[in-house]
Amino acid sequence: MPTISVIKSDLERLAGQTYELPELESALEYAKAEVKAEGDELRVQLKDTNRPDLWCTEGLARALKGYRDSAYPAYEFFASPNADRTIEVDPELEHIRPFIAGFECSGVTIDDDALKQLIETQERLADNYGRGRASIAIGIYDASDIVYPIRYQAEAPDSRFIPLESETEMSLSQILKDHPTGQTYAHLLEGFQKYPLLRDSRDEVLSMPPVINSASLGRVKVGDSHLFIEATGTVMDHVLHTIAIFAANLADRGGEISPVNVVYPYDTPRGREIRCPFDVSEPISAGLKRIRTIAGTELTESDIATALTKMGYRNVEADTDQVSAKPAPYRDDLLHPVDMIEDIIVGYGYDNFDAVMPRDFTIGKSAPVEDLSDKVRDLFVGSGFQEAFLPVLGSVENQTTRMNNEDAPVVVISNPMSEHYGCARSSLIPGLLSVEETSRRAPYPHNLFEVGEVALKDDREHYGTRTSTHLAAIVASEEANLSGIQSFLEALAYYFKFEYEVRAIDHPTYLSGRVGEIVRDGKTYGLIGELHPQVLDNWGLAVPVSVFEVDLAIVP
Amino acid sequence: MPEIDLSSLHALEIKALRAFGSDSDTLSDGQLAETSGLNPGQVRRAVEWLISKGMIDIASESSDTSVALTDIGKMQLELGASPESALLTKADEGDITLKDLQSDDRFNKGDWGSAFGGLKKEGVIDTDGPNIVIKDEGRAAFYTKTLFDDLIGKFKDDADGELAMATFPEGMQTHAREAATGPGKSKSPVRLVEQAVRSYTLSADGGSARAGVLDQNLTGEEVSQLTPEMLQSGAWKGVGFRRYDLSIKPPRVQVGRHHAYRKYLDSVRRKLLSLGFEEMKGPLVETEFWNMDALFMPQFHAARNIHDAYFISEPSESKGPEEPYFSQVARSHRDGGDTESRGWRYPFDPERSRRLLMRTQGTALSARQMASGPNIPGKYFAIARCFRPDEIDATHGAEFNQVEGIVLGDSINFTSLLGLLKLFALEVAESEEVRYVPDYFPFTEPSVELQAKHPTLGWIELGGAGLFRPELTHPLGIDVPVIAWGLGVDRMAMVSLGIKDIRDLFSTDLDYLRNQR
Repeated sequence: MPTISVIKSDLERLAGQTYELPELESALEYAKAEVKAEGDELRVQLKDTNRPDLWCTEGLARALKGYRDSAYPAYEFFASPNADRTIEVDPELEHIRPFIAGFECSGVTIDDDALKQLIETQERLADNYGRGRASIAIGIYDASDIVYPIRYQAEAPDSRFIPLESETEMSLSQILKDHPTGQTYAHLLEGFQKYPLLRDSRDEVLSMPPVINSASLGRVKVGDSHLFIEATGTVMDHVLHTIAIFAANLADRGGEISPVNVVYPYDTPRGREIRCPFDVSEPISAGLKRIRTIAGTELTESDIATALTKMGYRNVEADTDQVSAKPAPYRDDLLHPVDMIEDIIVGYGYDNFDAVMPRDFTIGKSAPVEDLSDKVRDLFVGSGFQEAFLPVLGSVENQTTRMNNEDAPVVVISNPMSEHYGCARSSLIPGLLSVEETSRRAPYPHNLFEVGEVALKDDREHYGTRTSTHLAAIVASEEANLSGIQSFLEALAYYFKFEYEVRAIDHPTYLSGRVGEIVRDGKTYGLIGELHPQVLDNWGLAVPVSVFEVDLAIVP
Repeated sequence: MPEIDLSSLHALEIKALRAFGSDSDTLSDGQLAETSGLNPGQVRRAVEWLISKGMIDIASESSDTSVALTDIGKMQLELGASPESALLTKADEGDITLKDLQSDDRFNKGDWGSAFGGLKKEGVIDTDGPNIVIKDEGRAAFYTKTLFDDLIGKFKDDADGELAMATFPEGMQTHAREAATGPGKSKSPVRLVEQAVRSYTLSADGGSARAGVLDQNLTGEEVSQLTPEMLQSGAWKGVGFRRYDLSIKPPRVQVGRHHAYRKYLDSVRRKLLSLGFEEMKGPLVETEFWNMDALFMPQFHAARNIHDAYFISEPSESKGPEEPYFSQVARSHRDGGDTESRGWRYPFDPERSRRLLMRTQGTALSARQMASGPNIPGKYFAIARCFRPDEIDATHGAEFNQVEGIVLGDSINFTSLLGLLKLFALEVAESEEVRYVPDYFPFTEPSVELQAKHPTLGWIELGGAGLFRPELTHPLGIDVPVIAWGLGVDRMAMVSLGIKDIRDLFSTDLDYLRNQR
């Protein structure tokens, strides 16, 4: 979920209204935004990951105003018939970074707030929507020095220009290797022989997408009023969508948008010549009956039309059979008629619907393994044991080295946040020992147990792993021994009606001669024994500990 | 005057109190022992306790000397002889030499020697050649008889006892003093014991206590523990039982207990079962397919990047796609398939579907349930452990429990979705006041957040729900509306158990677990 910074006064100026904070909070609820105030700055979390048009002050202000007044700007520039500015695309880019879109904006005053917001939006869209510039990267330029046509071309790594935050010319490969920003994004261009570069008709470099702007043309500052904005990327519609959002935002700030034609030498999902900003949204429709069925409410045609208008739809037509409308040009999130139906329901207002309790008759039924777990837990609580409830994730060391069993098979996490979460547990015992480790001052004896899920490696399984429910019980006391703990296993076997035997084995976790496998009908279900003094030492424990752990599948 | 609690009196105290014939009696330790039948040690303890309770006062205090046997004395008492008496007895019986004596091993050579030397010096014996002869019969009788009758023999009933100096005849008193303090004291059979002699009177409280004891006929002979032997022999009939001080509390026993948080989850589970939900189970280690693809989360979705799930390296992927769902889901992602959707329009990567991760959301179980022929209408739930990389702090853990599920049926729509949430608020969270806020989940449309009014915390988020997208249900073989719902059970548990730090839900502190209520 993206979180953005919004300057409250900027938002209010654009929305044409001032708000008390609680008022703003509830007004933004239907935009699925959660507000936290930090002085004049607001931290706004946007829950809808498919609505990047809302990840900015302009978008939120537009939604506030639109919902209030049922009116949205027309953004006529999306329909302007021609463009006298052009971006020409190099054929070699088709397999590097194939798509670009852009537009020019004049008559807008870039003050502190506007500049801050522009950069914030650029980062938010490129980071979240563009997944760290992989699928979308955005460049903003002072347009007054740019001479069209702009050329988007693939260039050899030895091409040179002065990037931002550098005094001197650097080659493209040098930038990827030595420039801090270059290093951050170098992985996006890994494996290519040539790199994308934007030049104007005088050969002045605008930028090296998706990495960095040039120090000459690629610098925007307070006071600028004439901008060129472009986006490059790997998904055509996402690039077009990004540019549509920027165009609407700058228009909201009073800018005049001039379209730019992008000319491709190869086929794209939108043809070979695309005029930007481009309206990516498509008219959408849904049957009236379907709308009413999903809403569970007899909404009238006019209810529906009002709701859609409030939500920014145009050309709304609702008759007795069908509702159709054109979404706003900066929206690319409508995949299915249900998306429009949700907007109708949100526009109508959740508070205006009845809550109808479920009426269908269904029978409650518990999972057998959970029923069994409950009974086993009751038995051990009744036997004087304290129940533990511990994390599934833990360190590999706890499952192996500290159990004196380096080779114990565990399901290993490839991207742990820290070594404390390096694997999923395959045994419950290390968790119980971590309780012992923490609780050396608690009065002994310690009788502890846990019934819980473990993840076991198992090559026969489709996933190579298997989830099982285990019971583990430990006794830590001066008198702890095998027969003491086995008397509880006896109780389990008696009350759950199974016969078992303990088959002596050697196991590094346990004292030799005091460990065995718990076997029923020739199959091993667990282990019982006295922990090896080395293991006690590894966990810093000063009393003997006897344990058993068994798969609850042992209960027939 | 404060009430005297007789049940707090020890048996020894009762006996000591009863030794006072009246409230004005003054008794010494010895008199107390005599009257109560207690031994001196018991008297000492009883007196100490009664003084500390303010029931008796010390009336007078002086010092007294008494006599006790040394180890040598105890030995002589046992033998009935001292080296002197043995020497004199033998000499009386006939001719005897020092050498003859020294072969008698009742005493060692040195003892015989010093007895011989001492008696000779005192003039009791002399030598006639090698033979010993008695010179002073009277003095000899002192050693062989008087000393045993009047000093050592007095201890024959209690060799370890102490006897007041006055117990002994005057001459013997002098002898005892000389023996115990003179130059030969290391060989002395007796030693002197100096001790304080105190006498006591009852205080006002003590008087009341004594009156109470007499009134209730307490004797101090009351039995503290009823034994099987007493029951068997019938001895219980003749005895009284000591009254307990019921104001004293014993330490709390360490009982067997359920884990408080797990018990909370049990209560949620029971509640859902009683509302007609069927329980789902699924693996901790999931594929991206069931965890995300099947939920129509596009592979480029922000919540699918490497930082938002724990991926598995050993093993790292499943053995292959699960058909027919795999192909249908893939189509739904690419172009919507036959779901009326345009799809996400991207090249779906079948390899990614096979990657293994720790389940990030319980909804994976709902996807599996839909694909395995659920009841329609049907209601399902799971309490699932889920895992997401997060900075660990008081409100974020690396893992958490999710209570989530689905409701399927032709009657399902937006109003029944709100109704279901209301039902949860009322029945599971026991919250009367609720509100519904638009929300977003990648797999539902429309989506609702459920908020409930908490008496002190205000509006809190309880969970969320939505209608599954057709692009999700159709490829899994479901063509009726499906509500997907989830409850933030960890937060609900924290509110219910008064826990401030989410890490305490999985505490490893045994004292905490034992003490948690």
